[in-house]
Amino acid sequence: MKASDQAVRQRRTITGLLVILLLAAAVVALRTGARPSRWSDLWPSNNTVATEIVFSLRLPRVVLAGLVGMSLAVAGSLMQALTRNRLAGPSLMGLGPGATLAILGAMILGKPSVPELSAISFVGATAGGLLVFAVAAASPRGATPPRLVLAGAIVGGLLNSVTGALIFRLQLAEVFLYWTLGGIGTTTWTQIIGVLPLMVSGISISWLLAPSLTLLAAGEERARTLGLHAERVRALTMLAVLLLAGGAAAAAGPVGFVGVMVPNLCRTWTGPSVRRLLPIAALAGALLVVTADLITRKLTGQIIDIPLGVVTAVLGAPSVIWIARSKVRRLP
Amino acid sequence: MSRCAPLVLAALLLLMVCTLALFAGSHWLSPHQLWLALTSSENPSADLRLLSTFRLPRVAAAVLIGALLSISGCLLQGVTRNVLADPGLLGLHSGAHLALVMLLLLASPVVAGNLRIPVAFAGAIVTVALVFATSRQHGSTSRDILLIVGIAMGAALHAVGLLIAFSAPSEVLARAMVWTTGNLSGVGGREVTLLFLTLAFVTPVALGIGKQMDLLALGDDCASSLGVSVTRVRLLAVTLGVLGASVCVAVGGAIASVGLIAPNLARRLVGPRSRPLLLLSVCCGATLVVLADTIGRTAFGMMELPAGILVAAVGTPYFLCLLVFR
Repeated sequence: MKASDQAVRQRRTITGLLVILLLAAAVVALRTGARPSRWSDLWPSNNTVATEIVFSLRLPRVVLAGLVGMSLAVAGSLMQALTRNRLAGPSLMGLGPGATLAILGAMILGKPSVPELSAISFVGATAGGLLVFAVAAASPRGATPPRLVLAGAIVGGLLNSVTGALIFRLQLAEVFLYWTLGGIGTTTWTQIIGVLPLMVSGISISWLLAPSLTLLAAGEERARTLGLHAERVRALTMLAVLLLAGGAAAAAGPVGFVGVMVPNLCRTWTGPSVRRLLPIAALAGALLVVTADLITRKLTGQIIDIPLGVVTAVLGAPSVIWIARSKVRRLP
Repeated sequence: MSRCAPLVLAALLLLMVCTLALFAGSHWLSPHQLWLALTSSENPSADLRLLSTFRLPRVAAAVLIGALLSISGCLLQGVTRNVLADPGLLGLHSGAHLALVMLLLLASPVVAGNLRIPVAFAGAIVTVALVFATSRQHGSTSRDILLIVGIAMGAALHAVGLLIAFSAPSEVLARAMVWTTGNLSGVGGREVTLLFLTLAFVTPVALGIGKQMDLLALGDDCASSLGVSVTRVRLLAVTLGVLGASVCVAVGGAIASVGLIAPNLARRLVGPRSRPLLLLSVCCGATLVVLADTIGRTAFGMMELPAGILVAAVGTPYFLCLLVFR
């Protein structure tokens, strides 16, 4: 009893700490930009140009970054619980590359609106994910964690090379180059409203599913005897993952490694319970992407901005090495 | 005799593809035109100049790069005892790429041009050493972990390279982006010479350690009891593999998965013995790159599609088959 009290207190401390850090990062991000802001500009009642910049340019960007991070971290948590594989994540499993290619195709063919983009991105993520799982499951030893990563790397490589070929062939170069490496450029509130339905529905489904997922992860036999529809839970989880990954890709392109890294870090504090993991992972994911976006703005490139996906890859790839080296690559 | 047949056939195929590649292009030549060009009395005709200054170096570079990457793949697969090992998957391309971007940024263009091969080699060998060291656990290396660490290390170094390139002046960025896809446009006689010298150095040594590599495949204990100095052969093979691949990156950029496809294709045809495998995969790899480069510069009109993208498009399905059906 004592130990569990302590665990609860630790989780509360961590949640509080994450909220404070996230708010701090958001405030710093609101004040950072080409035009320096004073503290008073953060107050909406002052009707100045500086306030206008903060509320119609910087705030949407920060909010979108937070939403993207949240979605990716939650999607990663779900995938890891579902496949019992610590190396699972939206970008490693072909969801990100699939969505990117689909969006690029749509952008070449026409001028899709934001809700249309979300739908297309969802379809692309589905196709990419299905391809990776099909390939890994068809290999003789089944979809083991390393097989999945390999299949993901290869299918992702193929999808990315097609994306690269399209960009190269059509000389779309700079704008698309930035976008296909993952980035949150100028953001408007309409853009956020366009992707919000995907993210909100994905997060709510995952919150409702979390207890069943924890049970399922503990063993399918036991879950069945407790009256769980394993297939239904799996299908709904995949739906939530695709909604979240599709939404994130529609908003920011392929931002890699967030979905793998964050849940693994957070699980050391929360243990295997998915419901305990989700809020902390969501907060940490938002914090990570808001900070990474802030870094990209601090390191402004000479021609184009530094893509967000590049920063998250630098931060996240070492964590994959760490997971691969750790003894438990499968979740308990 | 039956072991020679695939080799002879592959060599013939390579020859045919090369001839085709010489004739093909935005300006197609016919054998008749070539004959006229060679025999015409006027000093170098336009067709001959086109052939000798543009087509020939490019086809030669494609052959040499394909050959070097295949040897590199063979050696790395032998050392790691993993048929899925490949210079790209081990993070080697990204390491060389990062080193080259840093060189471009720090040195003047002339110095950078002269130093790029040693620098690419240094970047690649440090990366491979890092990948091997990081994936080693309790004195042994699991094959799957090695590849995951390689993929992750490659992604991280690639991202660092892009990070540097994006904050650099535009000409560095443009060059860096060309290197990431693998493109053979703009190779000249100098590059061909460099590639040729590397191949001329790597091939005999790789063939020379063929016997030891065969024994190494039986396991470290077995090989060392048969008198192979395991560490030395390993070190030599990895160094040669990295040298071959990094010279290719320095000249033509990262052409992915040739080092994976060619040796596996060859293994299907002649079996796992090192020497025939090495020779046949050289032919396969060269054919593949020449074909990809030729298609890339002819099939899409005026715009050239980089060879790296085409090889990836061919290579991925093949790799998937390998993963599924082995």
